[in-house]
Amino acid sequence: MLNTVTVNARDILRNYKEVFDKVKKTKQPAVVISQKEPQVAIVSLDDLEKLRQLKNKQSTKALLDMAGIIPKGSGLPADLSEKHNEYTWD
Amino acid sequence: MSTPGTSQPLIAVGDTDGLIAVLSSEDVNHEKALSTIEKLLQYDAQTVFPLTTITETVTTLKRKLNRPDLAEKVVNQVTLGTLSIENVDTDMLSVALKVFNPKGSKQNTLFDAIVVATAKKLNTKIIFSTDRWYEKLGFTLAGNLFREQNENKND
Repeated sequence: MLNTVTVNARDILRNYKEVFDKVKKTKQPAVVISQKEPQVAIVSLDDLEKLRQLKNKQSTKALLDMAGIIPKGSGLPADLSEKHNEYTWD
Repeated sequence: MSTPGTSQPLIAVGDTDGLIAVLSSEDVNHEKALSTIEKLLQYDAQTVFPLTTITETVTTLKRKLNRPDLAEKVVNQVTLGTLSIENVDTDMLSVALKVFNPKGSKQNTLFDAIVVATAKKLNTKIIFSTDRWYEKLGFTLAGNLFREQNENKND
């Protein structure tokens, strides 16, 4: 489970260094509250990299989900992938 | 699984031809593209597309698809945010310009060179494409990666 801490936007303005140090040390994301609502989260760079990798892996799945969304009979040339430069720019 | 020869995660950078082959059922490379994605998924690989691949793909499909409804659907799907899109900045353009040969084949464009720049930025050698130009530059086409690994297993 991903534990988080909350922090007010005002606290960040007053003492951002402490907030940053806490996130880095505990690896717990800090959810920033402003106008009584969670707005964004501050995460460690390690977590950001993990999020990036996760999104990139989901991108592979998304690619599969998009497969064949242009059905047969759409009128696209069969060699469009190989000759897309000619079809697009010539 | 990691990129061969490195401890880096397996990342494939997508080119326009690969993306078109996935999207279009009619395409000669459609089945091959599907099989490659299934392998990428099996190996928990990441897939990233340079912003220019998305713009080039959308431009091509918009020009060639005579059905506006379908064109709209494709544009919406591709730009929905589910694909990982890598921004292209002037540093990457500089890298691409070193690779791009304006006097070379008309088949290989600055868009392709930006795919190379993206792969260099992400420290990967894998390109999701069927264009053998990338192999000449020392990259491995994603479809061939798994074939090479199966051959190595059987050796």
